[in-house]
Amino acid sequence: MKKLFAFAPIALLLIPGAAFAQSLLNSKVPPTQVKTIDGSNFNTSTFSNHGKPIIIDFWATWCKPCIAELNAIDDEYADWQKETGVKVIAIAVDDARTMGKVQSFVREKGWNYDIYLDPNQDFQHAMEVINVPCTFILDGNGKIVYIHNSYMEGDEKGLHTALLKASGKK
Amino acid sequence: MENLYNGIRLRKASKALQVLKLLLPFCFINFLPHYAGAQILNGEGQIHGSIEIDAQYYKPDSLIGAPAVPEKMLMNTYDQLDYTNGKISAGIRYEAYQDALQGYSPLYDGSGFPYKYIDYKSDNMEVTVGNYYEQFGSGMILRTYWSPQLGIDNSLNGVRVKYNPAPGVYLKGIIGNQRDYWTQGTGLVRGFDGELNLNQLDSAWNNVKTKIILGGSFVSNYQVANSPTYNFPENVGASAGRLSIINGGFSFYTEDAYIINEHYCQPKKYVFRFHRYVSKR
Repeated sequence: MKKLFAFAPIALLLIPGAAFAQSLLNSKVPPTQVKTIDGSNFNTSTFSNHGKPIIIDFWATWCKPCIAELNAIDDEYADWQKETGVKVIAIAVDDARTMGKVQSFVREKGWNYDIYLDPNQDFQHAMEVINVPCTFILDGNGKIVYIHNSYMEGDEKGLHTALLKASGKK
Repeated sequence: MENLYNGIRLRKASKALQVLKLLLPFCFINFLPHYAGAQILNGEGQIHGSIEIDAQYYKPDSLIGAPAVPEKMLMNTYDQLDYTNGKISAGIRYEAYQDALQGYSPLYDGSGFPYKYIDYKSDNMEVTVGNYYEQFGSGMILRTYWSPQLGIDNSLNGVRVKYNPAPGVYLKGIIGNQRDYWTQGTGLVRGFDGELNLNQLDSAWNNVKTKIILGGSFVSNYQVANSPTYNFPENVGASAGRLSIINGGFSFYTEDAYIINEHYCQPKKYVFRFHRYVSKR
């Protein structure tokens, strides 16, 4: 029986979400400098969507699950915007070596998100993101109400549910 | 398969154990990375953090070339904790590789606090003491970063100063020793970077469609030459100049780097590298 209990924490880890707790919930986005596509500095405390929700998605050009997630959101983006007025802000954490490719990568994918660069991972650190992809939902007041790390096909449905809740539609 | 069940006696009473029994036949079990954190408000200060645990259970399989792993299960843990209060922030990161997952260097095995810092940020200046990451330009002469997926962490431990004396002018100075798994490299790294964002220099140029950024940087490494065979220079330096021009869908970037006193066995005095890409839609 002792050996069985030794496996109990592993059993918990096998159940997605069982050991899941959130950080930064109910707080605002920490003010950090990120870069716009043209290389200018931009302060993250000025992210706003006029009282409507915002999705902040940390991704990188080398991260396949990140690209899959952003493609999945892109398929639904027009509908989500009609329902909630959401804006997606995609923060590329590509470092100095690959950040130059971000703009053409995004254009090739046809995404309509607001793109910012975080090559030195300052914003990534401030948001306590260790690995990408990591997605946050901010409600109309700019408070973080949802955090999700990793992406499996179908996770965008959970994101949509949380988005509806954040915008008060559910 | 029989070896898996030896030493593990599963009882049918518990539903959770039945689930575990179903999962054991898989060649390895890859646990989803788990993210956990907490937030405490303490007056105007905030403490927040995150924990990630990546664990894998291995079973050898000659058909696919999966090797036997003596530890059976390997686990990487990253725990980040940060405190912010107005202009001050401080943080620490705990890492444990018990033992390091397959694909990571075994030099990581063990645990410790390889990353800690205190940072002060005012309107136009930021000072960081402790561990930090920094990149100059495209990263050709300096690129320090943390990639837990790749097992790369070459943070600098020392002092970094960032200064923005006027709109569009950005200066950085760094000094430090690089992380080398659980120790520090013996090389002393010092560097300087200056960047001019022409569109920000004068408010009349803010809305000009063509965005131009000029930059220059220099990095040096000092390391005691203690090779009995070669006569290495103790000071090696690299400089780079860069230019970025963006106009709508057109972007042009060029950076030239120049090394002096490089550690080459051939009697070369300098190496010239050129990097340019043009993308247009």
